[in-house]
This record gives sequence, C-alpha cells and structure tokens, in this order.
Amino acid sequence: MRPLDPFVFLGALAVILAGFAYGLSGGSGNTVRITTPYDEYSYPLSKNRVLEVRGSLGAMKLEIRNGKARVLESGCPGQVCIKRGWIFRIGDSAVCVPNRVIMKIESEKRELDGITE
Amino acid sequence: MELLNDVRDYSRLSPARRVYLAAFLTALAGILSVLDAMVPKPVPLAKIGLANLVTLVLLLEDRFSLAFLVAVLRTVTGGLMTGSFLSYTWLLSLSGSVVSVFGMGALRPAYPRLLSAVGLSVAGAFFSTAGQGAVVIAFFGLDKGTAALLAFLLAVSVGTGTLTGYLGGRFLNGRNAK
Repeated sequence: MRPLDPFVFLGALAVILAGFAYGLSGGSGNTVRITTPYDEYSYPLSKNRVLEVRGSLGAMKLEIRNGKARVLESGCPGQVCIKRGWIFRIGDSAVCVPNRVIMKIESEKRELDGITE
Repeated sequence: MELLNDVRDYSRLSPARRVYLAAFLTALAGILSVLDAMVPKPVPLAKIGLANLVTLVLLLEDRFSLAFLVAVLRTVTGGLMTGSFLSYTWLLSLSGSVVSVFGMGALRPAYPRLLSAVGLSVAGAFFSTAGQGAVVIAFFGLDKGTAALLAFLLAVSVGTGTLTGYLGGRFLNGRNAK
C-alpha cells in the first residue's frame, strides 16, 4: 500500500455508493409510455398483457406483468432492449434504437385501461 | 525477457523493431482478451480486464505512447476480427480503453512513490468502466436502472483492477529480481 492507494479505493467507493443511491431510489411507476415511430401509447402497469407494436424494423412484443414491463421479442440485431429486462421504477426506460421504440415508466394519477394519442 | 528489454530500450530501437514490438504486444493483448472472454463469469458485461495487463505494464515502464497505441490497435483488431468494428459495442470498448489509458497515464507520475501498481490498475479499471458508462449515457440517457447497473459494474471493476494490478506488479517485480 502506498499513500494514495486508499484514496483511489475511497474515491471509487464514493462514486459506486452514489450510483446505487441514485439508481435504487424512487418508487415504482404505474404507467408505461411506449413511443414508436408511428404512434405513442400509454398503458397501466396494473393489468398483465402482451402488446404487439410496430417498430422501424417490424413487429415487437412488449410484456406488462405484475407492475413491470419489458421487451419480449424484437427483430433488432443487438437485442439490447431485451437484455434490459424488467423496468418498473419511475424514469426507467428500455430503448430499442434500431426499432426506434422507447418504453418509459411514468407515474400518473389516472388509472385507465389504455390511451392512444 | 527480450520483450520487456525492448520495451525498456524503446528509444534505441530501430523503426522496424518498434513496429514488430507494437504488433507483438497488440497480439499479446488480443490473446489475453480472448482468454478473458473464455473465463465463465457470474455477471453479464463484466470482464477481468486481462488485456489491460499489457497496458498497465507498459505504463509502469513509462511508455505512455506505446501503451496508447497498443490499446487502440487491440480494440481495432479485436473489432475487425469479431465483426463489431464501428458498432455500438465496439465504441464501448474503444472508449473504455482510451479513457483508461489516459486516466492511468495521468496518475502514472505518482507511481511508485505515492501509488502502487494495484492503485494505478484499480483507477484504470474504474476509468475503463466509467468511459463505457459515458457512452451508454450518451446513447440512451441516464435512467435509474442504468445508474444502478453502472455502479454495480464499477464495483466489479475495482475487484478485477486489484487482480490485474497485483499480477502486473508481481510480473515486474519477478523480472526485476532476476
């Protein structure tokens, strides 16, 4: 151990703790907003369902279950959106860049079955 | 060891010998990163950073330009061989390498009096993950899940940085003892 070594570890620890503190803070959302190149939808997370939406590359399957949402199937090459897994915290998002589809968790007071805009 | 002697006598090498050395070191780093990929890891996206051993030893030997060159060449050749060249994932590894080399290069003057090889390596691993995180945030924006994942990967990188720093330091000590 050299004099500055502990500072490297402490500095890293501080950033890591800050990242976790921010990342794991905040409550769960109740709505998922889905933006596609063709449309924008909003669904409550309270009802389980599998949605099919159209992205730039073709059909995508999105799943809403137990207050969480995820990308189930996508024809994109990287499959980054699927690896993103379940999202449920306010501000969380799952993005499929090749399909130009964005899912974002929000918190809304109204609890409707589904809204198309 | 001839390779290490060449690194130490870099300024006196012929241009042809320098090219040979850079190519050899790039190949070595490439092999290490293939080995790295073969080791099963409990966590997705995590790497041990074995290829960083080459960069680390070069920096410890005060060969910043060579370290930078080898790090970039390894990323480019690796990208060409896996077919990920210029893709999003390739940009991640490029930014990780470049940020890590510059970060460690900036801290290098503190070695060995103020900072050990482990300290330098941990900083390098941390910078590497942070550099990749910066690209992710630039592409997708910062949301909470990304922040938590990055924090987790940063924590992993402190562990792997300690390991590579220990190995690198041991390697040089072993060589110097002979």
